[in-house]
Formats: sequence, C-alpha cells, structure tokens
Amino acid sequence: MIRTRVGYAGGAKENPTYHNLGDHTETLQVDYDPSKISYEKLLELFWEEHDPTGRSWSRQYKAVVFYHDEEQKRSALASRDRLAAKLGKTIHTEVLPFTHFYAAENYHQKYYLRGHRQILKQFQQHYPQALDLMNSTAAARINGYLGGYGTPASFEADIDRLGLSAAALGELRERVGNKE
Amino acid sequence: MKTRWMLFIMALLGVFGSTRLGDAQDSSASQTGLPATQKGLPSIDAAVPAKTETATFAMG
Repeated sequence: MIRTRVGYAGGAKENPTYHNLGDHTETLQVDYDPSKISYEKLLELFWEEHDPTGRSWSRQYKAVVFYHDEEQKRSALASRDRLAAKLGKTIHTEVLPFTHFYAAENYHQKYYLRGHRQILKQFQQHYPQALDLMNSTAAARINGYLGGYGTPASFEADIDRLGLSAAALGELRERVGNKE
Repeated sequence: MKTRWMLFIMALLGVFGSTRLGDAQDSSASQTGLPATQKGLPSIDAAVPAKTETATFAMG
C-alpha cells in the first residue's frame, strides 16, 4: 500500500464536496505496488469488507468497483461472479468504469492521524501542502497504526522511516502500545 | 466520511504493513519532487516504487 485517499467518484458533477455531492459516490482510492500485491487480492479484501448482497439506497453510499482498465474489469467481474456462485445470492455491488476521482476535503483524509496533534503537527511541517500529506506513505502507515492495525513487526520495521521526532515517536509508541 | 472506509484502509495496512517499500525500486524522489533525505522527510516516502497501480472502490 503506497497511498490512500478518500473522495468522490462515479458522477458527472464537477468539484463535488461532502455537503454538495451531486451524483457522486463516496470512494476510496489506493495506489499500490503490483509487484507486492495483486489487484485480485485487493478485490478479495473489498468483498470481505462490505456486504455485496445489500442494496444501495443512495448514490452517496453505493457499493462499486471502479475499474481502471480492461484487465481490472475482467478481474472484478470474475471475482464478483465467483462470489455470487459461492453465496448463491445476487450481488448488488456494481462494476463500473472509472472516470474521475475528486479527493475529499482535507479533514476527511488520514482520519486517525488528525486526532493526534503532536504527530499531525510534525507532518504538517514536513508537508505544508495538504495534497502532499494526503499522498504520504508514512502518513498512511501512521494513520493505520493509530487505528490499531498493522503488526508489531511491521511497526518496528517502519518506525525509523516515518520521519518522526522523539516526542512524536513516543506518542505513537504509546498509542500503538495501548491498542495491542 | 464513514468509519467503514477506515476499516478497509486499515485492512489494507494489515495486509501490506509488512511490505517493505524499501525493497522496491527507490526513485529517490518524494511526491513533491525533491529527494526526501534532502528535505528531512520520512524516508519511507522516498522509497515509492517506480511503477504503481491504482484501484478505486466504493463500499456502500
């Protein structure tokens, strides 16, 4: 996982916002290293993390795979069909072509990180531009650790590469430790 | 935005957290175009592989 960002996609309205979403759907976009993880594995996680048999009652909260090319389209449709056969139920999650992604407002990005002032302050010094903070792998990793995910081994492997001061590192260690 | 997004992102981290980006090709350039080591930025941000792909999901 290289970068993550939340935002809006699937609609025609230009420059949607959280309070003026138009015809868009709340969306997660992930940049990943295909030599480390496959798109099929991402799909597997996606199917596990939501109920694809549930109907969407609004465009804002639809379940969709937005494919970026024909290969992703084939993989998405194949995995959807396999799941439908396995469950014996209709899959309501849609598979649609990706058109455009609008990043959500800054306060939606790196949600857990934003709850820790000491660490956030340091990242804002590293990255005065919100776009750079959103695209930081370190910020994504720390956000995850603060959310209670990742493993102690991965945490220790990453810790020296996150660019944190001793104080911020102490806060992160304390928070991560409290969640173990 | 919903907490569910965070859960998915965290699931990704759980899967990929042990992936060492440093094992990938080091482009020596951050998103802002300057070597991370020059700017004192997190070194993990300088280890972004040359080839990445993008996936987009909405989870209902």
